[in-house]
Amino acid sequence: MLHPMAPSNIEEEIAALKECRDGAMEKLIRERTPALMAAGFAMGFSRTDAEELAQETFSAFLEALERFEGRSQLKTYLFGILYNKASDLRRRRGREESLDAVQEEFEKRFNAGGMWSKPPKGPEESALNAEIESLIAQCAEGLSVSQRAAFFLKEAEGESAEEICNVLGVSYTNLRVLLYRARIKLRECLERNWEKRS
Amino acid sequence: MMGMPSCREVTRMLAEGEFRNAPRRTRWMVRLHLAMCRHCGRFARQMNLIAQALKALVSRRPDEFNRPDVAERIIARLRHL
Repeated sequence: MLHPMAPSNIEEEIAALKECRDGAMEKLIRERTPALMAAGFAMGFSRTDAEELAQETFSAFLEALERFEGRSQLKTYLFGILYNKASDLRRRRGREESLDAVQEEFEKRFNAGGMWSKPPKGPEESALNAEIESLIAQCAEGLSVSQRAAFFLKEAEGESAEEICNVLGVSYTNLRVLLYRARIKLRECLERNWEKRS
Repeated sequence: MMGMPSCREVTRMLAEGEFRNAPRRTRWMVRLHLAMCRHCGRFARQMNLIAQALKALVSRRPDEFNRPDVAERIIARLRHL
């Protein structure tokens, strides 16, 4: 399969961009837009917002082209810019929640000995079906930009933990906590929605 | 982890997604715990459902996000900046 994010020669591409060679910018944008749009979608933005984020990403990248030294992969470098723009946008909209109380709630489910005092409810199924998938998708809207970005990079792009940490600018420990909180939050939400359904 | 892990420890490991990287002895203890504890068993199955649903969700590329004219519009606007 031809992957849109795998152009032949990155150094050559960057050199062409730095020299403002004809068509270099257009080539970059045509090749990289699909992955940036996919990231915008995965982070929960509308098509219009995703397009604006992709444009801002290219604009920032081209302005600071001299600073790109090829140390990081171009792909994750662009995702890093996109992630920062997306976090700014979400903050401006005032939708980024403060530190979750979810973990605290979850801790209360165990007694002092670490055994369940409030056991989990919700689906017993071991295979995903359309109903459960749609409930989880609704719950995913409550995740933060960083949590959604981490899942996108991990599950859709197959990035290593190291690259994900680079893009999000967090330590490995922070990434683990971030993913842990996201899964706990999704499970609590799934249980609530499952019990509520008629 | 010396003895049998508690429910709290098992769920933490599952939710962190670190189960596969854990030492073999720990993995074995967790499996044993899951086989005996129906609450943690349910939790583990739900973590699986969540992983599958998330993978499907973030891998989707809806048509409206994936049309070639998106790149062309971005090119046109950046030329005018």
